[in-house]
Amino acid sequence: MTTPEVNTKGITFLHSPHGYSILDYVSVGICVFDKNYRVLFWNKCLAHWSHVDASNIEGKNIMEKFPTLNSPGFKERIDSVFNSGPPVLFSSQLHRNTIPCIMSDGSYMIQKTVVSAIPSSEPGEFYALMAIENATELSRKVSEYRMLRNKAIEEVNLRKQIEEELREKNKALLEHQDIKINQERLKVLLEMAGATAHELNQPLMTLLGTIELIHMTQELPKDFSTYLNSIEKSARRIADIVSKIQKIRQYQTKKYLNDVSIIDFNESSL
Amino acid sequence: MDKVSISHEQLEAVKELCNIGVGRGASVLNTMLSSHISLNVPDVQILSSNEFRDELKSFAKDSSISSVSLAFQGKISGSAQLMFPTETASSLVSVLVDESDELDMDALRAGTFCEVGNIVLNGVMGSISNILGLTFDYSVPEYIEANPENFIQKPALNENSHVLLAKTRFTIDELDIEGDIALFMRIGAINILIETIEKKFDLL
Repeated sequence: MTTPEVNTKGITFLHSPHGYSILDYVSVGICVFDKNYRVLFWNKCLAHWSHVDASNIEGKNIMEKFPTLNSPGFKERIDSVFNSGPPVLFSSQLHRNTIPCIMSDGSYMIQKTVVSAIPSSEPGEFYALMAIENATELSRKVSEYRMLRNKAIEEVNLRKQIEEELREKNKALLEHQDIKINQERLKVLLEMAGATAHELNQPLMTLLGTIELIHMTQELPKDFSTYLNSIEKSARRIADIVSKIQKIRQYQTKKYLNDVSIIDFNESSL
Repeated sequence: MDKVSISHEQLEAVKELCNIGVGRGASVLNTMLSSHISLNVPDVQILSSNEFRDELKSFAKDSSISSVSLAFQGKISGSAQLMFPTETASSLVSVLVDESDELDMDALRAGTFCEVGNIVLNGVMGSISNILGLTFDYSVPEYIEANPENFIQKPALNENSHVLLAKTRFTIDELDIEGDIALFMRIGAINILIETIEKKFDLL
């Protein structure tokens, strides 16, 4: 237990070889103050961070030296500790610091602080023990992590956007390619159809004309007449196909044998 | 195994204690934050450890649980926890510190959540302590994040422990979220709490 030291003003300090002075050897800023906010102990770490020696603050009101502790959200919460209330936590994100300490690079130290109740030398009374952790490095690392994370997310989003644009452009290119191929096919088809119809029409007209002349002959054997009708029927079918070829305006195919596709004259001439 | 029996009046008294506590917590939060926050406890129930396991699974859905834990010892011992699904806890922090809600629950944000939980739990424990005349020794609040399965593996939740579960509604500007304040206690401690409430509120 602590052996309190009482100075000439009757103020109890907490330096002793077996008491709070052991807290001079920890790398956490620690101070102890009573319910009047009078500092009873100020460890070496906090003295180093704040550039305020224990001799310059012990016995004095901590809020006069560090007014932050008197601001909304601080005093009201710390007061509960003197009634043996639960520890009070001040996070680095909401408060930045409780005891402003300027670091070697000129920036303010970011702190995480816990204020806990500890029994005082008077029964039923409590002191507040304020333990301050230097959270500057942690905050810096988290900020760096957030920047890297945001950058990674931005890059992923940009990559997704580029991939989507690429997909769209590729699709448009394929569609354009299809249109061009179909136009070329149709062009070749129309040239072929025109040539075919033209070349077939003349012999077909001769064939049909000749059949007509034979029909006009009076005395044809009965069998011959039957054969002639069959020839005429086929010739007229060819004439019908040639007519369809002449009307081709689009490229439509249909399945044929062995997975081969052929031009569908009916559909193509619609 | 011993059982806990609690009357409607006793539960209402516990609810009142919790509402006073979270009201104090909200008052402190409002002095610190730019967003206006209001807290209330619409429902309180006492659950066995098994019932709490089921409740926790349905509460968390597929998310992990973020919790601020405040252990206490005294005539009644146990731990008080403020719990949220982690995504909800993260949204709460985002609103309070005006940050993007796409951030992870990193160490800084966990620290902020821990402070909010500390304020709310201190309000509740302070209310229980002051009104019922009980004194406690407390541990430093800590942040715990675990999936529901691991969360309920904790030694604090064994067959002999019961949970006083207070549904807590946080309303912060446009955000309306619900968390749980859970007091983990052994059955004996719950019975002492009920007896103390009976005497204090003259419910005998």
